[in-house]
Amino acid sequence: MEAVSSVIAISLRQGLAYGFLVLGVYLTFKVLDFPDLTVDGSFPLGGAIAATFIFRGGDPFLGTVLAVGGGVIAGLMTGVLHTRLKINKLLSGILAMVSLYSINLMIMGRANVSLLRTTTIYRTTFKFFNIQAGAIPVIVFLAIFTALILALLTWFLSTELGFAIRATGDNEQMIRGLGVNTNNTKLICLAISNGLVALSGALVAQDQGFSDIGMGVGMIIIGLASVIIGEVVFPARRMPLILLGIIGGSIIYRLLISTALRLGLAPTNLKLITAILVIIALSIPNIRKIFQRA
Amino acid sequence: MENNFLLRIESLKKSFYKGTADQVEALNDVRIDIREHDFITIVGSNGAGKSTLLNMIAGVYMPDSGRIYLKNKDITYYPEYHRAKYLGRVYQDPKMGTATHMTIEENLSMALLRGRERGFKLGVNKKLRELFYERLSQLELGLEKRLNAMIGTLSGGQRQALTLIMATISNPMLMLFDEHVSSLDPRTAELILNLTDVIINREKITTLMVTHNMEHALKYGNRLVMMHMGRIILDLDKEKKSNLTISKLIHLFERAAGEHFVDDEALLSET
Repeated sequence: MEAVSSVIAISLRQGLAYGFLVLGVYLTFKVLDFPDLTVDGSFPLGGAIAATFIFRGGDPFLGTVLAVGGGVIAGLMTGVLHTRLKINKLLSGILAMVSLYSINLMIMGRANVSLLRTTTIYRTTFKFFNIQAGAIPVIVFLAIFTALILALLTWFLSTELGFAIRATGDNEQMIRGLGVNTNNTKLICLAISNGLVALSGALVAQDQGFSDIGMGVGMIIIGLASVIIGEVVFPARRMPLILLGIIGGSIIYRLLISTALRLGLAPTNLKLITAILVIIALSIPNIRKIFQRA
Repeated sequence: MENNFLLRIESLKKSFYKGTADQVEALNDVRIDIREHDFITIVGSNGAGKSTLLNMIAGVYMPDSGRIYLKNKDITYYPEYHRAKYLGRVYQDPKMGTATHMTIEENLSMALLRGRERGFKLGVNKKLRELFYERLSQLELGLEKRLNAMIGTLSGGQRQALTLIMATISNPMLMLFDEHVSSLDPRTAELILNLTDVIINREKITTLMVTHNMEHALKYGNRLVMMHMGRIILDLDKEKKSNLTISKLIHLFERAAGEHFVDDEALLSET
């Protein structure tokens, strides 16, 4: 029983912290139809900025805000490469991701920054409300934060500008014909997406107690896996529910992973398993077609 | 130069695949003056340059040379999104005019904001819904009761009808139709064409309508233009148009172009 509840606690905690990353991936991959690989660089960028700032005595809230700002800039960088310099979508993301590896090292000054003995956004909050630190308060903190972001995103996506961004991913020719400069809508969406991804990186780094240069590897795949699981398990058509389903997907993904680890799966195999999961999910429509033809 | 025309096109030229063996003169010195409230039907065989002309007016492509004036303003090199506020457009493919994964009311909201700055106001509200309900009721397709339906659940005809409403809801100066009923079944095509005619005449919107169908070209509009190999080879006003029959029109085409009419679709529509 204890094992089960601890698996659930870990899954909720990680699923919510990585949930912002998943929302970011949803915005680019699903809404904008832009497979944005910047994520693998902007996630550790968020961790690097927040951890370095806090490590040097900065306020953790301000550090987290700065991390989001860094993510926004990273997204704009990819956006400019694609919309102004006309570099293809995948390559723009890869170029940003590779550049960010060096930038993250520059920010941290080394491969790893520890936050074990510093304050964090969680510790500051718990201290303020006089709460004993632990898994449950972290989960509650993240859940409230998630609800806030979900409300903001739901509102934004139903504004005039939000419509234009969704239409850019849906039918670019049409929305351009209606007078929207789709270069700008792409830039805005990439900025918001990578801001969320960096937020996720900052929150994860402060939760796990360190920021590491390698913490971004495979994040795009984890994001995709979570989005796909969310859409399959919680099929929804309306806005707050779709986003909520995506967060659900992130939690279920963590549930699968931590269960697998409990059952003795070597942590080194995780990325491979995740990739296989995504391959299967992405190929299901085609496999179905093959069987229908037969 | 000053003029009283809504749209003036001067010596427009455009070739594709320039400098290769495949070079095509899509537009070869096209000139036309369009008066306010003109409803022009454009006919011509495949590759005559009809769609290229519309794309040039809409700014999808830029011309190699020539000028386009809209109300005396030179819009030749305006980017597409910049001239959108003046133009409404309905394409041949019903999928092109609507966003599949968005709802009817969301699509209408985007259309209503044609050419305007999009901000942080909610895209749909009660007042807009009433407007959408009223506009869609005119179609008599029952779409007004499905404001929240995804576009993907609509048929091609319904989508095209919606595109028609979307294109005209913001009162554009000029409407461009590019064979907008040719992918629909005959009955739906008639329905959409009649709706087009009613809306254009009621709102008095200046219109260019490309069609493959000679009968439609004669039945609708007050002016008929025939294109061939990137040129305008016929331009008939209302009076000359009213004296025309399909066989006369084909005869005129043969004489002007100096070759036989070989377009199957146009011939079939003769019967």
